[in-house]
Amino acid sequence: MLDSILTGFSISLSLNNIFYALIGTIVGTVVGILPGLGPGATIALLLPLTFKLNVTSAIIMLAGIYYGVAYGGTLTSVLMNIPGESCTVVTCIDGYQMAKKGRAGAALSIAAIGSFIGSTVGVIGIMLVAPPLASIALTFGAAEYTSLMIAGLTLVTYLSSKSPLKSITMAAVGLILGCVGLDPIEGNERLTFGSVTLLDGINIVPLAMGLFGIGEVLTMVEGSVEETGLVQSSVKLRNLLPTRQEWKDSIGPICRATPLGFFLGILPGGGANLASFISYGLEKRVSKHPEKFGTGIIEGVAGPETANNSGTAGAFIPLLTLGLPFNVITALLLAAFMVHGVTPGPMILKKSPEVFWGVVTSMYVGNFMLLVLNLPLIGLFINILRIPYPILSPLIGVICFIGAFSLSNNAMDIVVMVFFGLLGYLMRKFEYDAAPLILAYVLGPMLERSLRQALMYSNGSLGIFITRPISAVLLSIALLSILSPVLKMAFQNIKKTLSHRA
Amino acid sequence: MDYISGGALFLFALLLFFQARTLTIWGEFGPSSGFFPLILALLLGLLSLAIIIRAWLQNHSIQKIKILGPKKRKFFLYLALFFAFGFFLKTIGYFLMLVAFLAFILKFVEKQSWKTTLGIIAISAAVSYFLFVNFLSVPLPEGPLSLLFVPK
Repeated sequence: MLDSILTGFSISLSLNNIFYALIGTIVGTVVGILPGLGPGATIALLLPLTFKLNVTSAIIMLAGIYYGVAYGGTLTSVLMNIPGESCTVVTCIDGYQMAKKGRAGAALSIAAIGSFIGSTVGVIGIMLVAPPLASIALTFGAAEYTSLMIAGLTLVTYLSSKSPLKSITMAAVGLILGCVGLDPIEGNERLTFGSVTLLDGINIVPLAMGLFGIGEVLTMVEGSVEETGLVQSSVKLRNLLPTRQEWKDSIGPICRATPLGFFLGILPGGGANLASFISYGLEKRVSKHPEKFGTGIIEGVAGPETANNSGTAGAFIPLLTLGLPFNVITALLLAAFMVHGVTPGPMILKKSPEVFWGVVTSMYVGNFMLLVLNLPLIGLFINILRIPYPILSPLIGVICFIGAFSLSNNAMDIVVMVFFGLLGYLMRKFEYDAAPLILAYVLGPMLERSLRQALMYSNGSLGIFITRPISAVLLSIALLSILSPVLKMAFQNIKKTLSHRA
Repeated sequence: MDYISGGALFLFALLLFFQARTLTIWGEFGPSSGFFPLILALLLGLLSLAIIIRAWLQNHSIQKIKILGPKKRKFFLYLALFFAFGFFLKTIGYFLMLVAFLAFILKFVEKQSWKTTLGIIAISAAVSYFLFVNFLSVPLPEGPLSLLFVPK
């Protein structure tokens, strides 16, 4: 393994890849500062730019955006009580209160350092866990993959949404969109309605850019968002470094949040969002003074910020070793891999080890860059918030147009993208989440292929999914996640009845 | 709102169901092309009905729905311009389309000053050219300006 790690570093420390990691982390930090344009939209927007790069450089850049976003969102969470990203919502609670007390610098410093530690340990975790997990994954057959994808889809929709019913519906729509085009096994035309454009299916780039990018622009335009920039006056940072007591108080939360975030990141539907919320809850529970949470204490920043970055690292494990993305960001990264002709999964360590180790070791490099960037460039990044939305909106549109067109030099891709942009806008209005749709769209063809293969192997018998133990366990998890709201209600009713009788 | 979205999804599921029925569902060796779309059509139909039923159980009232916000005109102008960009891109060419698009949106829709509008157009055109055409070799359509572009 040491040879592989050294090979990985020789790839990630090449000038080219350092440059792309830097671009990715800067763009990710900037995006993290801007509320609205999330990492999913940014990765979708920049995906076409990577077509000319080799696969390792492309993934390094896109991965840089992913973990750069977590850093960037912290800035606005602490300074303005506006979460730049969903994974930094929790940081607002105590981070902003610290800023009001004049401790913004300390909050941002601890957040940056905790994030660096979380990410670095997370990357070590990838190196240790990924290779044995890949060898276990080689024992997976079509039935196991089908059950794993079903479990992943159901867990993602239940864990990451206010309305599980609407999320599962969007997942179903995503699976349907994945069917458009040619049947992956028999090559028959499906759901094309006679259109030549749809014969190749709907490409992920216009779909994702439309739903996230154009959809967001249309939402901003129709009046829901303030027309001025978010920052009107200059921001001053005082006392950049934390005090000795603050350092001491941060050690426990950072140590607890690192493994917590990492293992939550591996789970379907987990990742940075879930990790930061659970870490905050844990710190409040174990704290000797839980009543102080919410008033501006360093533990409320150190824990969630560390967890969201180690969660980001953990989320790469199912992508790289199983070839399965369990959140929308890694789904887009999977699309990037496939565009470049590399299929992540258990064979990547054998067929393309330089890609695997190059990407993993680049995370060290990227996280170090983030630490170096974050501290001195805070003032500069905040200025980006001064760009008013009336100027930002058309520019985002232009980036989307170029991205969609450059895919296959087909202007119809722009029309398709705008159509999905309108759909994305309507989904926001009717309170439907786009993330399950994208995830299901990416997983759909793989799910169909493995489902049909499993049924062919078993001569049409569904028993194959139950008689194989791993498949049975995974399907049980899926069933439990679907039934959990019903079971929860039933238990609550029983508890109420018993307490009344008592 | 859920009545409308549930109804639309149910209609989509019906359309999908009839499309899937035109394909072979089960072949000699197992599930065929229409199998997965058919299952998904049934699933989507059930889910959309569940959304409608849930709305009814929660006593959602059928009221006048206001989907669009206060700036309807701006919204429709943006949407029309986005579609126009796609339809006319190859005919007019990217750079002329970019100038027209940004000029119209920034000056007439967003009411920015000419200085800001022209500045942003110039920067966008320059960045587009150097980043996409020069650096990434993305062949953006030239349209009537093709004579100005020197082939590589």
